[in-house]
Amino acid sequence: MVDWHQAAEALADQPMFRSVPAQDLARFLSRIEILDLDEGGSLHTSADEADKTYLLLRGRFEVIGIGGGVTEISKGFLGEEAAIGLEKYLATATSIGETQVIAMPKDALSELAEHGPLVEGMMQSYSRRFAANDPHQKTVALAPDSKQKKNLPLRVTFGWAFASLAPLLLYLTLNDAGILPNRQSVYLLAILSAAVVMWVFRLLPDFIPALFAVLGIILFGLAPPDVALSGFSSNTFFMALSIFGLSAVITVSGLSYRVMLRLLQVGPANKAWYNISLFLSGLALTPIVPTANGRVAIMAPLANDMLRAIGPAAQQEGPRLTASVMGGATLLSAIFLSSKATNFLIFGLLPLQEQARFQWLYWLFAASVVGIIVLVLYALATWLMFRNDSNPAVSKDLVRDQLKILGPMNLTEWSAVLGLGVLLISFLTVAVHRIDIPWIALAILFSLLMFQCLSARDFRQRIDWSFLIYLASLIGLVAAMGHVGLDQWISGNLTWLQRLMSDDLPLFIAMLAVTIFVVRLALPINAAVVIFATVLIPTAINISVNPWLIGFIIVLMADCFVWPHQASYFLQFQSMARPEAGVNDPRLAWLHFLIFFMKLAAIYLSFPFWQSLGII
Amino acid sequence: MRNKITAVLMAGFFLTLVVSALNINIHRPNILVLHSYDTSYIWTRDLNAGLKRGLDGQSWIQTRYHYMNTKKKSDPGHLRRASIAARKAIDDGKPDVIIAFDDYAQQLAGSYYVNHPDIKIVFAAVNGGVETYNYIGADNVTGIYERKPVAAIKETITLLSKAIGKDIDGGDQVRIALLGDTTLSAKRDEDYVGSYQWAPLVYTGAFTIADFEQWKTTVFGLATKVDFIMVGGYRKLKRLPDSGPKEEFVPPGEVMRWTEKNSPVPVIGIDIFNTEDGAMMSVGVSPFEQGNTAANMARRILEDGVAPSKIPFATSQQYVVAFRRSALDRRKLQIPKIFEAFARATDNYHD
Repeated sequence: MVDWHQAAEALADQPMFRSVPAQDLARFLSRIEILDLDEGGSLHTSADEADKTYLLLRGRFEVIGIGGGVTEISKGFLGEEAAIGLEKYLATATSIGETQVIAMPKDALSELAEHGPLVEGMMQSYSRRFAANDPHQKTVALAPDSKQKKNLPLRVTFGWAFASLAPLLLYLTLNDAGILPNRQSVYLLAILSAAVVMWVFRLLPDFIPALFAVLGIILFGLAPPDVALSGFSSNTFFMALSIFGLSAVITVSGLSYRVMLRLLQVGPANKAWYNISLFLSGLALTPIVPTANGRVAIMAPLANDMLRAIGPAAQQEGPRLTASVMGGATLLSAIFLSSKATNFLIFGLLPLQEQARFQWLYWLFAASVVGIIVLVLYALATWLMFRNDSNPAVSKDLVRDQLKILGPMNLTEWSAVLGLGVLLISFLTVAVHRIDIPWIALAILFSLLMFQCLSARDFRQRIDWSFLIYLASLIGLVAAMGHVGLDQWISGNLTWLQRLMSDDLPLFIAMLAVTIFVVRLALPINAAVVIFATVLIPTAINISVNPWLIGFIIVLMADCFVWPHQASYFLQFQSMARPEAGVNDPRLAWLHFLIFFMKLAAIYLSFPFWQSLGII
Repeated sequence: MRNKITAVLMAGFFLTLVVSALNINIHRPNILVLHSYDTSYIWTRDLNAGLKRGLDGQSWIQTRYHYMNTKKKSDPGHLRRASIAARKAIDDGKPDVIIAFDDYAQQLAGSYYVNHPDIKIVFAAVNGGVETYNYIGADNVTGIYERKPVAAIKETITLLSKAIGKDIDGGDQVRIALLGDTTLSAKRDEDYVGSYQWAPLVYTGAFTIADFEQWKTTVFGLATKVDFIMVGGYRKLKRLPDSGPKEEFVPPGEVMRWTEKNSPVPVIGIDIFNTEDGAMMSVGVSPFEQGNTAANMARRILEDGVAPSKIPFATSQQYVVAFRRSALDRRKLQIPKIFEAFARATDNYHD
């Protein structure tokens, strides 16, 4: 029987583990083994692959270096080579009498190493031993692998060629054609075309083409800086900034991990509950962590812990656990205003009075029927598609000890709970306090910074500043389109689209969904949303169709994918997940394909509800 | 110990900030400006200009705007959605005063809050009565009516009569007629214009028209019967007599441009936006006055605590004129320079 409690205490006693956050140490506990060796038992030899580092709990070891030096170890670490990144052990460790050690896998240690001086500590432990006892021990160079110089993909070369040619061709074609309302529109369209090519060919991170567009607008004098940069002073920008701040506190504090452990502790030890726990954890993160990638980054280690804990059953249950993680973290992204970058973008493009109407709570309310229907259909689909006869169980002792390591809720966790509580109350009482939600969110961020629940370093590192620049730039870009009259021109030249949107909304939605699905085969989510939203939202406003509805459908449908390359968050999960997660299981691709139809069905079934709200 | 004191001081500092901000915002006067139309319409922009003049220097008053967009679209479905959205804006914002402009704002939103204990209503730009909105005798309602500036229109036509060769003093008859669509608003205008004493001009009556074909026939038919055509509402003209209910109305710009181009006699609008649509000239109620008066009434309610029922309903007194230079030139009509300067100053002079 593994004594988790003893192991936890032994780890916590080591100075180099003290800088590791409690939640990571708790998670680490599920990945260690405790080994008992008899007299003469070999822990590792100098020829072995260095895959584990050991912490001595009881007994002594004889360690012989490759230079012949011999030393005896009765406390501390062995096999530090694994922790410091060497491929082979450089010594042989043999048990003297009965011994007990904690075996710590190399990959788990490397994850912990992100949080502090673990590697340095291990190197010191390693070098101290042999410096004292083996003058012949060679210094080991830890130089990183030399990176192979790779040729850039053809896509990038073609992309840059198009990015250079597209604006030029547009300018030459449209400059004297008299099609566009004015010369500024020609320039703006040319700049926009270059940015779109950069997005389509993924030449640069998303925010850089957006920044380029704003820069172009200012340099070419197409709109005054206060218009082009209006996104940076918009309440949408500050709302997103504040949600990022709150999300950073939640992530840093380990609150999400504690919630997950509590769910495992209170629920029955069966696979249904494990899936529900993962799904609910992801769902709980959806409104408070404003990027799908951020949620997946939090959820993937939890899923890995679960896969490890359930042992052999993970082979069968893995794909469903993956579906639960992905579903929880991403399925309802469009339902909460604060769950995705693109939602903020749609919100930023709405007229002021629609922004006032579709504040966080009303956005959720208006989208709730879609969310509920999609949830039900998703649960049904995963139940039918991933049925198996495995019966995994996670040790409740392990969960209990992991919670013990976390200890009572700390100040940062309390501040995260308090911040969330205040935000929720402010949503519900907006008619009383009459303060716009973005400024309440900013006040919460201020308090978190003031009380140092969010450190200046975390403020710099954990807030997605590139996204904020992207968001603000796009809002400015659309404002500039309005300034030169391009938005009116676009909507005015899409009369057939206006007529369809106005007269036959169900058909329009079907066509929009299919078009987005096809476009998404080539374009990433953000670029697809930007292109559809900048064309369709002004058109909707122009003909008095509710622009939120159009924006909501765009973000909802653009989040559909079939192949992993279409969704960066799925790729991220793929790279983080253990092999048992079965991320390449074809059933997952089918499930993702079905989600498209689930969402479409949910939209149509929401029509009566939206009619009652006066949205359609 | 020192850490604890610091933490308490910081908490006190933050709490003071929060309580102060809440206290200030809860008690801050709050106006919701509810427009029947939207800002693409010059009438709405000028109402806002008058309103801002009235609220100048009153940044303390929190002012929000909501546009119902019923000019571009007024089918029953849109009116239902506009009504729900406007009432949600009111319920969410809990304004102290609603300033509601034009009829739809009263009909679809304002009328739901008659005798509301916390919300006061100031109506403006209503060209008919307010009985249908239950405003008469209500505790929480005041406002300003929009009445067509018939005296100013009479003066203008009298002035232009000489330009078309008519000498009223010499005994020439100058005949006028009014054209309008079938809307309630147009009907009210007809009643009001018809009740005015136009003498020495000869008012020959009003023509209520349902479709564009009938409009064209009437315009041509009036060529020999009148010397000036006055136009009122024309935004709800069907394209053809048998056009279906789903078909869009003829765009107002198209109606007015056709009328100006084809009418054998000069066309005078009785709403200021008629010239923006294409008419040669229009004399209309001043939107600046409507906005300004509504703002002043709201300030009396908010600052002086005067009950709306103690503020008598007002009626429009001022008017503005608008010209279209190209139409005047085509008809070879000259207007006094002072008129032109006035139109230019109020942004109502079109090339």
